[in-house]
Amino acid sequence: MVKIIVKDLSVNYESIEALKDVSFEVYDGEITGIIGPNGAGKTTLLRTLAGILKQYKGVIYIDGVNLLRFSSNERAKLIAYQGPETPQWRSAYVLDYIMTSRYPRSKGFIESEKDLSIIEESLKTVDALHLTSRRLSQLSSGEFQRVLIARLLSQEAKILLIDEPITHLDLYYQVEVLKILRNITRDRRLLTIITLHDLQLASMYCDKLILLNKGVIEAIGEPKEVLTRERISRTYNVNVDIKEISGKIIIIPIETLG
Amino acid sequence: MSIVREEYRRRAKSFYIIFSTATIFLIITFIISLKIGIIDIKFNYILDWILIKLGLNNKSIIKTNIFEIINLRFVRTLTAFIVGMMLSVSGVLLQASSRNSLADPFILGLSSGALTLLSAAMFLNPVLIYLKPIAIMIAFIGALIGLISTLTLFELTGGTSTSLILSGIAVSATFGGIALVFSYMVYAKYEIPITLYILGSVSMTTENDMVTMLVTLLIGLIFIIPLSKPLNAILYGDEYAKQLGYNPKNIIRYSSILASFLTGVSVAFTGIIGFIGLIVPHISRFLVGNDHRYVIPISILIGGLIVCYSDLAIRYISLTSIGEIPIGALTSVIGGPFLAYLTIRSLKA
Repeated sequence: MVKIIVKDLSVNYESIEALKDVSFEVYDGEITGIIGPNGAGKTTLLRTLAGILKQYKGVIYIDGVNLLRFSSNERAKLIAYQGPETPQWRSAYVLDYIMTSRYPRSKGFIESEKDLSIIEESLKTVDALHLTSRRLSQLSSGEFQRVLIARLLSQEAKILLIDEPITHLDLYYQVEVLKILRNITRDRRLLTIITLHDLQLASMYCDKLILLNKGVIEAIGEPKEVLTRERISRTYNVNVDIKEISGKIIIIPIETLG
Repeated sequence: MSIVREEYRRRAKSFYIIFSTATIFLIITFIISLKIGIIDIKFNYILDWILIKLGLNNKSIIKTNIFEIINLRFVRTLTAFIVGMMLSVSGVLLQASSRNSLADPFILGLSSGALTLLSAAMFLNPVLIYLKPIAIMIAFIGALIGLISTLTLFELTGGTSTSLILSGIAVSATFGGIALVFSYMVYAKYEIPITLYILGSVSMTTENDMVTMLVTLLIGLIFIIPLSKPLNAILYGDEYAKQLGYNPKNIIRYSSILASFLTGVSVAFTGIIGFIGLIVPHISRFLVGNDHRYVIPISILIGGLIVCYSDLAIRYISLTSIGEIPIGALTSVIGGPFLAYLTIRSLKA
């Protein structure tokens, strides 16, 4: 069982109030999508939950323990985070990159058999085993995103925080990546939080949505509850129409509002 | 057999092969370096010299002057090896912690910073030339000042990879000029040929310096081994290293101090030998990939070999009427075009 409780979280980031009195609870086995317009505070929320941003007001409890009480190593074993910054040393091989994800757990100088098995298994889960000896620079966007997810998995954390996992991907990989994330979240009872721009896919693959606007939670709950015509139109300044076809909601953007 | 295991084992295997080949090469090079010079020395004399040095033989068949020549060549060769090793490790540290494959102790102003402070100190007190431990400390602080100046300028200029190199060039040009002025002042005042330090030379050390050099090299190596994994983590970004539980600022700090120390020591003994720290990490990564647990040992061996061969080339050239050219001149002739090649490759990508 993993549970995150956020109480009255306020973050000032570069002298801008990025988050204001944000409170919510999320559980394992659930994939939560953070949605909202640009600058709503989605990435800031994710970075704070990841323990990267430590200057904040309010409390974040993970299984009843204050996030700030974890040592950085304990935190790394519990939370795997992929921010907007993608791996920089692109001439490295996929194996080089993914091996580093075992460092929080594997204290020896070299990898154990267990480390290698978990890396193998993670790459297999996202169908990226054949990429093991490729350079990061040689990967297509879809392959790259799958390698990033394999890295998160091989870190063996209970909590996955991923910033925009489907940006830059074609429709096939958008659906594929979200499907992988939903499956592993359910099968392994992980707690997954992702930020998204695509409301349609968010409604289909997330168990819960948090709609942020200007650092404040506009709505939280099941996708159907959060994505209402009036609320989306107001938050995004876009007139939308929402239809329901065979149990799925369809969001149709009509025009921007002045 | 699984794909990951297979790849992992393949890498380990190729590392061991390259490591042992380089080690054997290093030993052969050492013996060649004792043999070649103005006077060619027979192999059985060298063997005899080794046995005497190891205390296994006390009846020498060699004449004293030959024995002395081998002694001098030994000091010179060991100096070349150690300095090559130090500069290479320093380059590995700087490239990984800045995630910039053009970083090098010479380009980022560490070498000229070290020489500036060292020559200024010698101008105030020429006795320093004999007080190696103090000279090392001064050069170390000088290297650190050079690096900090570059990093400060780098922050001010926006923090891109090009601005790091440009900042380094500005700093190393400034300190290089000041070092030049002080060196000539020291030479004019005390007639100490410190001007040799400007382009480096492995012929300025004595037998007494060898212990200090070996000890400082060992200190550097002891500290760098635990840094291998953190350096692997920081390659992919500060935030990435952070989410793995590392403190990226500390990794950068330790690497900077260690790189400055190793550069400082090498400048204190041999002056400025440029580009070794740039070239060697590239060769190592080409051979064994990006894992620092492999890159560091290989860089140590390759670094030693390259400086030693540069010195052999100089000794070979000095047989002609040109005389002995500074080693830094030779490494620049190789390193400059290499830098040009890397610049083209990195800016095109």
